[in-house]
Amino acid sequence: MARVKSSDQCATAELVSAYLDGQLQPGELDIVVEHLVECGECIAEFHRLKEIRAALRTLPFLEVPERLLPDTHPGEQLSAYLDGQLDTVEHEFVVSHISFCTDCRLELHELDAARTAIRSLPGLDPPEFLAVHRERIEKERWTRRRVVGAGVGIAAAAAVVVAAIGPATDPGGNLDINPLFDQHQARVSFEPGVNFAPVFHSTADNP
Amino acid sequence: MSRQLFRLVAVASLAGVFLATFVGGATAAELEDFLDEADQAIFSGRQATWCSYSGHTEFSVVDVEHAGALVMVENAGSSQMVGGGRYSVVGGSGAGIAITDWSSTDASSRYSTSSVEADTRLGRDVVVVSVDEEDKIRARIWFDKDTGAALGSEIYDSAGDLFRLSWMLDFDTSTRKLYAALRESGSTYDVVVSADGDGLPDVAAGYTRSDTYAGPDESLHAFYTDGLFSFSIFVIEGRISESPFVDADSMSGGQYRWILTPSELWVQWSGDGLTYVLVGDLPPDHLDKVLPELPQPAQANILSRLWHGLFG
Repeated sequence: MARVKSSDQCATAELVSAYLDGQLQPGELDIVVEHLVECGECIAEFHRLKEIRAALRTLPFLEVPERLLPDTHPGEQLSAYLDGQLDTVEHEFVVSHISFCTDCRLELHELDAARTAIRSLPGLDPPEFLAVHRERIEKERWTRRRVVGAGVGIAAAAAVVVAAIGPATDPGGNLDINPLFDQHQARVSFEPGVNFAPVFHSTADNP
Repeated sequence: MSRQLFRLVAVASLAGVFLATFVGGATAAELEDFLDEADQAIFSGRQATWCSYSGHTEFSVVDVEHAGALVMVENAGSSQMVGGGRYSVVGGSGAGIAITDWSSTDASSRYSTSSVEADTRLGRDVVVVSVDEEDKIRARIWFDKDTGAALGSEIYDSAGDLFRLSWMLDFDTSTRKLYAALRESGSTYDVVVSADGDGLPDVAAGYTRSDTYAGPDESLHAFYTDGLFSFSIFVIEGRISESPFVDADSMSGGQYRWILTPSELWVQWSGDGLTYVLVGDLPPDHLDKVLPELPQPAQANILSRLWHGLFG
């Protein structure tokens, strides 16, 4: 009766695994082939490893939810997102991520608030060495103003009269109500109230 | 004898429950349940909506596909997808709008359901829920028993006159194009972020400001709801010279201008260097109470009022 060797005791067991992985060094293949001919234990191990590898290959591919992955926060992409500089794939990732990640949503709000604060900073006064130069320019302007002042005064008086008796439509910008409608509808979609099918732009554009 | 008495009590109890549920009154919580179920219904069909306000009438018929809170509306050759805080144009090239932060507001205690009755519409069994406000009819809604969908609704003003009417003209318990259209709808969205709503009241005539956002073009967007109706206020820097409101009808001596669509009422006014735009489905008597509680329009001078008086 042949003595069966334990795989722990078999010095070439690791080489068999490497063979299956295609990682054998030159010359090692001959060792494995010769060993498999005489070692029943390693032949069984060889087939078992092959079956395991085949079974692993047939397992469905699972995606780890983004929220469970460490270090997958958009980070600097949040700023690029606010600047509208992301491509479609990055944009989708950021939108999807902030829909569940409170930290990133908060960071986005803070970034947006910081940008707004920066935009609202007061302008800087010019340095002193420019003040003299500016004074001279102002004098020249004032001279020119006096020349045309009389004519402008008459025109302004006429304009005041027209404004006083005309309709109260102050000069201002254009208002496109469609983006307002879109944002209102987006928010209303969370409400379970009596939601009428919203009548979109065709009517809102041409009331 | 005691067994007969027990049976009698049991039958009487069941009859009471039945009457309370189907032909009697219901609580505000039950109204919320009806509305929640309608929100999750799956159906498609054509929907007609009619609205009348201050002598103006608007009417529309649109194709609607509804699946869970996702709604696709086809109107005048254009399709829009709305749901879960997102809005996009199907096949549109621009980005959609996505709102990710929102607060839930329970139905206001000012509504109660005075009756819940069985009826039939479009060959389907329906439950008709009458919603009252201060003992006056405010709305009647026809809920499909099978799907929970709202097949029709009537909204009344404080005088009991019909303000808005909406009916499904045909009804199918499946959707035809919604999911295919979903793939074609915009893949990119501009995310709307929350903002502070300084200067706007937390509550206006029973409507609670549930959320405030940064609006389009650096405007501010505040959303108010009473659980049944809702409106948005957009606060825009500066005054507006070109807009659909320029030639619109006015009220309160020209201080407010308004536009009616079948599904919404729009109001615009200016004050303190800001332009305000209100859009919502609230009934007109609610609007009359809400406007005085919002930032006020600038007082026009006597010559402007004279001009409006003479030329409208």
